[in-house]
Amino acid sequence: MIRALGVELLRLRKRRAAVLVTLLALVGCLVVLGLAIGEAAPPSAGDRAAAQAQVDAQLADPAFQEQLKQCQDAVAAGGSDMWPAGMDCAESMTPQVEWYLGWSPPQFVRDYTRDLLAITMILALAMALVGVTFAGADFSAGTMGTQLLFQPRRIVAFSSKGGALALVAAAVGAVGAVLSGAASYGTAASWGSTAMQRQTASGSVTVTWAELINDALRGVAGVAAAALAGYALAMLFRSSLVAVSIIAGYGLVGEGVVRSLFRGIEPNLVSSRVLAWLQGPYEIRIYPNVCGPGPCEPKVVTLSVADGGVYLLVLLAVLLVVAGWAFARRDVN
Amino acid sequence: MPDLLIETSDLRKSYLTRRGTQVAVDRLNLAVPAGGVHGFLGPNGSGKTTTIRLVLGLARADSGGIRLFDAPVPARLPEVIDRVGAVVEQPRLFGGFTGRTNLQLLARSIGLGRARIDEVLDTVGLSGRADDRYKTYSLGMKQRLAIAAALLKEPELLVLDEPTNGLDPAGIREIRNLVRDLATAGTTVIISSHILAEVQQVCDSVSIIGRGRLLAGGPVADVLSEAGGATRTFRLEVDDRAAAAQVLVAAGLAVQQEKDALLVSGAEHGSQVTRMLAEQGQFLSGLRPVGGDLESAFLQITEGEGL
Repeated sequence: MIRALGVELLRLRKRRAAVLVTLLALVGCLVVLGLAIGEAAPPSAGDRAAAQAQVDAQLADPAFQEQLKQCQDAVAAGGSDMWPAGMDCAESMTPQVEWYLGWSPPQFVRDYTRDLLAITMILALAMALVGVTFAGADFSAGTMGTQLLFQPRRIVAFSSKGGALALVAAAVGAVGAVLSGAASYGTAASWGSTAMQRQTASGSVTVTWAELINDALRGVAGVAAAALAGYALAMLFRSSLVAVSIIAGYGLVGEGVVRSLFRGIEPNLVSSRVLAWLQGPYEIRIYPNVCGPGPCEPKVVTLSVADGGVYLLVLLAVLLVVAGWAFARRDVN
Repeated sequence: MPDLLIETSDLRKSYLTRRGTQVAVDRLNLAVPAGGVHGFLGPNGSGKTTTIRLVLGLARADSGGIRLFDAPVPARLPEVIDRVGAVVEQPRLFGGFTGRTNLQLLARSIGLGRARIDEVLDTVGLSGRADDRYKTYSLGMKQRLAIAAALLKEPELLVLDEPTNGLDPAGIREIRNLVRDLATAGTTVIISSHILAEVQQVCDSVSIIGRGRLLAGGPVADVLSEAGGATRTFRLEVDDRAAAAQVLVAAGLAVQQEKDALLVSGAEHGSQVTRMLAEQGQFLSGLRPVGGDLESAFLQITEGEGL
């Protein structure tokens, strides 16, 4: 098995399509992180000057001065619906340079969570494609039969290919996680805050490094699982095209159709479970078809990490078992 | 080593097609002896490749039994597969990889090193092109690389399915010589082909199948004589044809005069004819069997089978 795994790792490394897709995905990650770093960087002197010019222009605008005067008059007269009593019109309405800069200092935990999710999604999609092409090429080139003449134990052949893919995908996922961690920490340390705080609906909570590493490991597992899912689909249907069509069809159309047909199905959709797995507790608001006379209250369903993980694990296991069984039973050309 | 390297009993394989169930192999009882070159013959669609794929575990039989090196297939195939090299139907390797990389992947899977790869590349004459991509190879080169892959294991049994497809005459001769060399070195070679004249030149024994059933099998000479009956026809070249004809007719053989030769039927062996004539002072300048080729035998064997 170890030898078979080594051979499949070598075969994967030699597959130009696999290498190309992986490199493109990593470049895509670098672009995303580059944009994030660009956004995190403090505004330049030029940006500040441009913002100041906009502030000056607004201050000089007669319409603004008129509105400010209306506010001050209203407050002096005891307040109105729009300008309540005691309001400091000058402080509230006078434009600030920051308003026009659109910049907020980077925060490590917030940015890490955001970047990790984006990077994981990009790499998961890419590794699913690598899994598809790795298996699909064996069937389109007809080389599966040749390989089975050297390794007739089909389950070993199936497992070693899947194992090689999972290892490579996990390594790529780990690179992505390290890159997003380094980028978000670097920018936060340079221009913002590295405080270990996470904003939640109930306020700010402290997070530990272990929790952040746990987030990264779930991302790595997600990337590996995506590679295996692509591989299993291509092995099952013996075609890259069919496997890609299923993935794209489900992602682009399938979930939308299911959503429109079955109200309240969101918690059981793959995308919801993926987000729950990657992001932690994931809230879904399901609004009723008909609302009563009072405010329309949604039903809130919260999916935990475990809810996401178990669902995805079962789905992946079923896919792999069916694909492995079919590969072991069916004739190979 | 067992006496029979491949043995099938009542082997059956069918496929579901749009036109219903197509039986590719039908109660096939095949026996391939150890040693020499065995021809596995039959017209296109007769079930040769399907049988080979069944024996090598690439396809599953509906019913019946297969033994390879006395091990039941597919249950114990992994135990004996290292003793078998095969090229099934056509060379199937990765187009984007070089010839050497293709071999390297297969060699590594059975724990072989670089030296063996160089050896087999040398054997098939591809050392000079080993580092070119497989997709740039001609069909003949692809065929040779596939044979090199099959030889990696130093197999005791080499199965070549239509090995000369797409080869030019020089390539066909190379394959023929390679097969003979391997057989001389002790490898049992099975050649599946529908080009019977080509097979006859290298085979010691044959199995002829049609519509998935075994129609004839055994040493080539036996199959030929079975097909032609106990006696054969010879074409004689002799100076005094009239006198020679008189001698042979007197011996009970049927003689037919041709422009510059005699066609003699009824003798079991050519030596019988030469002896009769020599005893009467008639000496031959030429003698060759007529109609004793596999193609004729095959046509006779399959006559009435609707093939």
